[in-house]
Amino acid sequence: MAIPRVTLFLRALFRRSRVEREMDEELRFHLEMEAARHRAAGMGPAEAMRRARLAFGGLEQVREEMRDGRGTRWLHDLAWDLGYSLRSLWRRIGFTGTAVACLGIAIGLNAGVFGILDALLWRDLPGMEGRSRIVSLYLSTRDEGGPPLPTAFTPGEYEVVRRHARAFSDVATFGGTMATVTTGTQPRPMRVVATSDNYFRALGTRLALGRPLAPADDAPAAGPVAVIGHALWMERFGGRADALGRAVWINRQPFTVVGVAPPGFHGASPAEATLPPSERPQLWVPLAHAAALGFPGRAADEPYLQLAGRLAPGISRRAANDEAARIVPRLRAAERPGRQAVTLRAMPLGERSGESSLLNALVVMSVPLIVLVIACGNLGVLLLAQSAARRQELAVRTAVGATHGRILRQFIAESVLVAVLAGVLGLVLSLWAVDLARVFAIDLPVRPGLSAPVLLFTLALVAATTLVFGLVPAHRLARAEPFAALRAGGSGDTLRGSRLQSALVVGQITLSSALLLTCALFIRSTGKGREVALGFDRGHLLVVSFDPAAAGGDSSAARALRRTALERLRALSGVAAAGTADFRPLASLPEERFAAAGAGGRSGTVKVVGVDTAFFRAAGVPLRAGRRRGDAELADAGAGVVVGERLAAAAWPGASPMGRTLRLGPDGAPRTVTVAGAAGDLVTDLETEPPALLYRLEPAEAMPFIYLRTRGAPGALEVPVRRTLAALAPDVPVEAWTGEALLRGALGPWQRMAFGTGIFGAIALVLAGAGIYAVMSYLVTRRTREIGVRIALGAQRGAIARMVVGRALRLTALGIACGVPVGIAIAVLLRHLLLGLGPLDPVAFAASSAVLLAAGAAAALGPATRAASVDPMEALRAE
Amino acid sequence: MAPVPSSDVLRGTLDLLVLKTLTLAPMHGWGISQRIQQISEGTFDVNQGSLYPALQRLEQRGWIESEWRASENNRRARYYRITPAGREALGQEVENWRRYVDAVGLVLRTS
Repeated sequence: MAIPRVTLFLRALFRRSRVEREMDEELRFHLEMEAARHRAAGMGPAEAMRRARLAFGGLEQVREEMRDGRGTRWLHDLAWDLGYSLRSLWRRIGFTGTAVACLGIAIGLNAGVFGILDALLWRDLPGMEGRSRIVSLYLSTRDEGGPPLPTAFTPGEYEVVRRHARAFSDVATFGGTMATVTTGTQPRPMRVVATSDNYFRALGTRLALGRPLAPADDAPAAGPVAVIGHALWMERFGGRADALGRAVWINRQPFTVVGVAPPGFHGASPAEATLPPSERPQLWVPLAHAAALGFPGRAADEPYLQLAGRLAPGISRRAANDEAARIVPRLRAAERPGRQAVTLRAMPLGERSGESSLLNALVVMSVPLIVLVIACGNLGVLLLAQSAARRQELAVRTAVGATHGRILRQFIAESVLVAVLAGVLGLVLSLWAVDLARVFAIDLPVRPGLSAPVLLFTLALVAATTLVFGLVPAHRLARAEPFAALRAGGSGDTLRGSRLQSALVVGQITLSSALLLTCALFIRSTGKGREVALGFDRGHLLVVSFDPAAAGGDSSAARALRRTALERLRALSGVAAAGTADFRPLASLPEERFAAAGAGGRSGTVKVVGVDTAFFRAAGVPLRAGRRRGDAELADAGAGVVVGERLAAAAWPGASPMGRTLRLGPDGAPRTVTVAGAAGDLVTDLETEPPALLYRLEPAEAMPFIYLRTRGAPGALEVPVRRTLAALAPDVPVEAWTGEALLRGALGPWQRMAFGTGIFGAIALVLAGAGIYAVMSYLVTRRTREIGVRIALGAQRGAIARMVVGRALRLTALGIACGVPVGIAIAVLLRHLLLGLGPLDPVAFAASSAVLLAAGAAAALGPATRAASVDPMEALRAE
Repeated sequence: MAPVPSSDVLRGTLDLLVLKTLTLAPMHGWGISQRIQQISEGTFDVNQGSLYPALQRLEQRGWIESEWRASENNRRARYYRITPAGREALGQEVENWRRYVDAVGLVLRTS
């Protein structure tokens, strides 16, 4: 029976020496038989063998042809290439280590950022199936004839969409809010979501235990049931199956547990999914019981619901959007007067309406990609430096018979090895992507990992870097004149090589300077942000949130509770004054239209807050104009308001606002208020000027935020405040912020941007520094003879060192100069984000340039020292 | 001596000749080359070495198989034997060759 081809192939592969031996034996047999034939005819043994060989033809050629014919040649060549490359890379471990590290860090950064994007946008969320088929529906309406604004859905609107949207197999609705939940003895604020009966089905969620909410649960008469989150189940019920049927109290009403959500599941709301884990939803209840959560309830016409839907099989999102547009007229028919639906749009889950996630993703990816380009620049520099060092090796190989193609193949093998090693290192580093996300305060809905898109992306990066930075030097190297290198001191095309190196390094520094400049601008912004006058006395302010009404129950009891709390807090020794308000500083505020009465009165929009009369003293907001002195004056103002300075200037330019009237609110239902006082303005948003502000005077016990003016440091008062409130009402959640903490919170984004760009900038700096080091090092090596000559002729060693450092600084300065226009462009793009700075902030430019110059000089120190310590005798002797 | 044909044609005909030779009896490489030399009256004498890559190729295709045996002078040698698949291929190749010769002859006669 014939041996199958595969077996022959495998035998040639694994029993190579045996196959070779057999071949030799067979060929030798032939030659000896032929020689024997000639001997038999009378020739001498030597002559007989010669004839035999002649008749046979080239023995070695036949051997080669047979080896080629076995089909294993390419494998053996590849194995040899890889082996040689590994040994070669190991010999030059300095180069290899630097190259792998640089490239690995850059690839790791890219893979990490990509992993974060993947987790935010594409990865299947835990407990939900088929993320690409689930969409969020967004509605914008025109209220009272104003501009179209995004809004939540009313129950009526939900019913319309559900009935008419055939592009979806399920349309579910949900609304989440904080509630007080008691499972054992301790009440805790938790996020609870009221959902329609098809919610879990629409999301494709398989529960860990029990059953999901059913249509039967959504009837008003049905008993209240809930599905609890996995974390809550583990924590409060020990993960036991007997959790089913037990009760949890939501806002003091009992709900029976009927199911447990799968681990990590947190619902379909994009906003909720990116909350910190402790604030994510942990309970889901039927919509029929939404009233328990403080929601308006099913019959009401209030907008408070969000919608999510699963696309029917085979329907694209575009088809769904087309159908959504057709539903809008039906929505209008069902809405209350004054509200008019404008657009209904379906967006992929996790994306907000109006933002292009792809564009955002590209912007975010551009930063690590810049770092990757810098790292590749380094790699190119290193490879070019290597090229001169290896010309001897190449010359020998070419002289011995290696073809151009063979050498090229082996160099590519080296590049592939370096790129693959760097890729593996990068993937390992990207496992810390979660920590990177935390630096930027991004809460991810799912943990980023080595998913298929991330792996593919990394593979693409590896392939791209191999191609670009393997082929170019490899081609140049393989083409080099072999004999020129063998001749002593040949320095053929190194001049071009070093120019290319310098260009690469300058490019690296340009990019680094752009990143560092951005970082400097954000650091300055953070600093300036701290100096902004906020309008209140933040050094002596403690804001406490105390809201008995949120726990449900009787509102008059809640008011009494607040009154008592206020009295007790006023009595504390560290408290100088206490007032209340319905807002927290530096938060966003509701807006209304106003029209000022009287001659010369103007109109416009104003932000409105509710405060009590003691607020101004407690918060340290200056109360100007009018009959100041004492809250008693304001107390009998009745339905009065206090206007901020800007409002006063805008409504009655140049006149006193005291005693004048304003008409507030929509044209359909205006209110008239009288000005009882004028006060300072408050900053609501660090990026913009303080807005026109109206303080509505309300009774103190009606508002949830207590403002305490402290005698000493506000932080010291937090514990006594909490103790007092806990003694008074133990089941009401309490939160407290000092004025400084509020500012820090508002400055958070700038700090994070500064930190983030700082990290990237630092990495870019290190890479650029390595590039400078490589270039200078190579320069010194190449010109060792020249340096030796100079020293022998009497040049100072210090002067030599200064020459090297000077060269490095010139390169750096050139890079900085090229980086200036890039930096200006970036600063202009970001100018809306810069607090109190112009885009051409000289301090930022000077600081980033100084850091770069220092880095350049530091990087050149090593080679400079080496140059200065050249021994002229050694240099002149060696080649 | 008759002119040697081009290498492609030679390779094809060499395979043919080897298969034909082996239909008579199993043989080692040298034996095959001797036989071919005899039959073709000296035409295929140059480059005996080209036989061995051909034998390797034929073995890979499964048309012949080999085993190591003691030769006539008690030395170890590799003997080749035609397989059923080889016989079938031989029949096909002979048919092709005949058709090729006829076609060439036709062209040469009419032009």
